[in-house]
Amino acid sequence: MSDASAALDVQDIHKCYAQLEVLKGISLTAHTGDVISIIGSSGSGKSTFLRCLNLLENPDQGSVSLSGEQLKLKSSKSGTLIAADQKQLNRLRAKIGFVFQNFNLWSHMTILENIMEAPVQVKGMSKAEAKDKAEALLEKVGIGEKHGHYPSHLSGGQQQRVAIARALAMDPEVLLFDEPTSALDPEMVGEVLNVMKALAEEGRTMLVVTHEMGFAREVSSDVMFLHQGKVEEKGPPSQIFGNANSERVRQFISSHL
Amino acid sequence: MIDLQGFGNQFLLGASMTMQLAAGALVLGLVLGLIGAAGKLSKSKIANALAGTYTTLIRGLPELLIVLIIYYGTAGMLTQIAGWFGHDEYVELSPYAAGVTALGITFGSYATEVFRGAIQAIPKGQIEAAHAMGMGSYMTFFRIILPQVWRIALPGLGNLFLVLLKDTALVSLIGLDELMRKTSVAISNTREPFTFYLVAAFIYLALTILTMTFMNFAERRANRGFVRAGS
Repeated sequence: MSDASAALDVQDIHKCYAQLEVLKGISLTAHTGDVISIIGSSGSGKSTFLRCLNLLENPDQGSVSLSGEQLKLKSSKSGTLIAADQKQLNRLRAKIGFVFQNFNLWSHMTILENIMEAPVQVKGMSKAEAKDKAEALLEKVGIGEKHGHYPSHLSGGQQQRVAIARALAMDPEVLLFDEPTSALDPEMVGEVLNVMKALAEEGRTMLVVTHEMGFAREVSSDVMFLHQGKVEEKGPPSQIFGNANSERVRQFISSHL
Repeated sequence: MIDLQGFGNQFLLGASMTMQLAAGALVLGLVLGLIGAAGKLSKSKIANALAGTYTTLIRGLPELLIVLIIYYGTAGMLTQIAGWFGHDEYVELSPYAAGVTALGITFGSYATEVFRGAIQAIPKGQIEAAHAMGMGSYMTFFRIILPQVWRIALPGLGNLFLVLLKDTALVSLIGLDELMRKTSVAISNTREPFTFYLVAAFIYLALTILTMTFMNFAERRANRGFVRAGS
């Protein structure tokens, strides 16, 4: 079951809010280079699942391992699982890039400072090195000329590309995307998806919660369909989009294409 | 030109003492305000209760009373403590130290609320982003929250500082040679209350304008990179 060679191994995640059970035991294994799209209707628990992986949300049950290192958890007073070793959590979080729906760039810092912040503060990289790296990453996501701008001066699509560059600056082993294009105007969705496609082609390990069926179909190595907190079906895109076993998945796909 | 009858130098000394008093109280008050806000927002019930008691108590008392309590109250207490260590002379805080303490405690209790509101105004997502990058709570507080707290809190703190600047006059009652006391001395010597109260008024006004200019500059600097909503 557990796979020590996996880049990311997640077992049996459960999560309740009050009486409502949002996640009913979800497991997932991602090997290096896998791009796994997580799809499903709103409220199916996709984002909650992703946020449980780096403890932005505290699950009630389950385990998470990154490259064979298991995240140490303990029960809190309220019954949820919290980090047993805060230092380990921070160390693992530094290796898990997270891209948010609402970008969440730090508004008091320029674009360049946003990208340099964690490498310098968390990893102890020299400022000069972090700056070179940040400039190269901005170039890579196609906004090399915007260094000195503050986040509020950029469009949504540009902000999301900076957020991706910020995550990449930590050289993460896994990249998690939480509906990265859902807050964007339609004409900006493409520019962000193109950056993500390029990352997939580089062989990055990625988990992508998304409503972009085109992306899920073309770019993923695997697609996981969640329904009411459970994995309804999981398989290669050809299966999920071609001939899914589950009637529910077939309905969802036909209404989203 | 108004004839200061040789008291000009005394007024300058008084104004300087007023500014030192305000500056000292500001520093103490900012520290207390941040601690108070951290206490109010803490998960610990004890910290909540301590911070709540502090702001309720101090904001519920007239400042004059606080100044008097700190000056005379601590004198009794310090003398007592000194007695235990075998010193039987009368010990008291200097009027300056008592003034800074009293005004700082007061400023801090109001600043607690300003800071609390400012901390809560920072988008939660930005804090999550810091955590997701592996930044711990202290690093997140000092690198992400605090620099943005200034921007949001500045107008409120500027307001409190203007109030503080004028409350320094209360400290003249415990004998500190600040602007108001120098004014009284000048008046009792010259019997020209109108002239000298007017001079004092102009000096307070000048200090206020100076503060406002500085606050303007500070706000503009802190707002670099922010687009006003709706513009």
